[in-house]
Amino acid sequence: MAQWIALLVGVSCLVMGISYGHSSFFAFIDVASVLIVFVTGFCLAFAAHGFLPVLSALVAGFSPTKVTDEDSGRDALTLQTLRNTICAAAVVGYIIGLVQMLSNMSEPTRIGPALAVALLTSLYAVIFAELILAPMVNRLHFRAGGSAWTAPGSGARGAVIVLLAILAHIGSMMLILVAMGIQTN
Amino acid sequence: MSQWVFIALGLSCIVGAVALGGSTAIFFDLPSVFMVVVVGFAFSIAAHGVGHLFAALAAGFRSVAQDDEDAELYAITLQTLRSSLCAAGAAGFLIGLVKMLQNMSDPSSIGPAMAVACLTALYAVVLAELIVSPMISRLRLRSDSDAASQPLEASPDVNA
Repeated sequence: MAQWIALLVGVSCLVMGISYGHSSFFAFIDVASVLIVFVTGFCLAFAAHGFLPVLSALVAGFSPTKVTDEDSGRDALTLQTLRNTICAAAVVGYIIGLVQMLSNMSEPTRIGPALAVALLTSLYAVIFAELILAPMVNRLHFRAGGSAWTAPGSGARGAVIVLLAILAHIGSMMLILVAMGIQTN
Repeated sequence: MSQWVFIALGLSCIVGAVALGGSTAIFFDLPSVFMVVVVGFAFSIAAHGVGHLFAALAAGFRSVAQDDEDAELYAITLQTLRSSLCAAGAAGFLIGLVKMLQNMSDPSSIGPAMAVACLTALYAVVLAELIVSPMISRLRLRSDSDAASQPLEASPDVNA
């Protein structure tokens, strides 16, 4: 019960952060990005572990009751695969969006929104894979009797994503400035 | 006691560097603080429970070594806290960037909007990597004395 309240608080804080200021919530929904991140990510995880094992691993991750140890270990590995495939699908989606943006540089006012849509795939992946799945992976790993020092859901993958996003962002800001300079000249 | 002095000294050096560079007010943004702290803690609590999270933080801050039979439980809770704080910083940064990119019509607002977006990443790095991550290493040293002889594995970064 307490975990559902915590999840609700976390998600509603994210939604508040999204709708804070003069920005509409619907600007953060993009069907193509949802398709790439979730459908591709889930399908490739299904391909590796099978449809039902992935779903039962998700159920085990959300359920507060303890199942047997060997099941927990298998579920942790399955969710780790799901986490990896969703992150990888987000990278693919970001690159696709970037290529689409770069092939349409003639109109500088459309660069910003196109880049925003490209960033949405990373946002979805960070929220689902790193905020929801990674803590679950850690919990299942620990339930299975795994050591805390080899927990697969740890590490600063979020920090790495921030660093890559900053680098990608600086590059694209320069591109935007160059495009604006071309426009004014 | 001494660790509080060092934490205070380290954090005040950050604040001092901010103050030397100009206004400190631009480095404080309440929505960003909420974004990192509430989201990061909420998703860790969802996985490990309120009681375990605060017990783990207390164990991480404690200076004297006690009977740490729960050191592994505390360590994995702090690992989760660390990775979810980082992820909350990443999510806040991406949200700020998307907002900024959708309001590109006014070029003078681009810089400040991006500065605010960067603040979530700053808060996440300070909390997760400067405060929580050393705690994890310390818990590891306490829990098994062999860790001191394996310096390469002592870093919590092995699974990054």
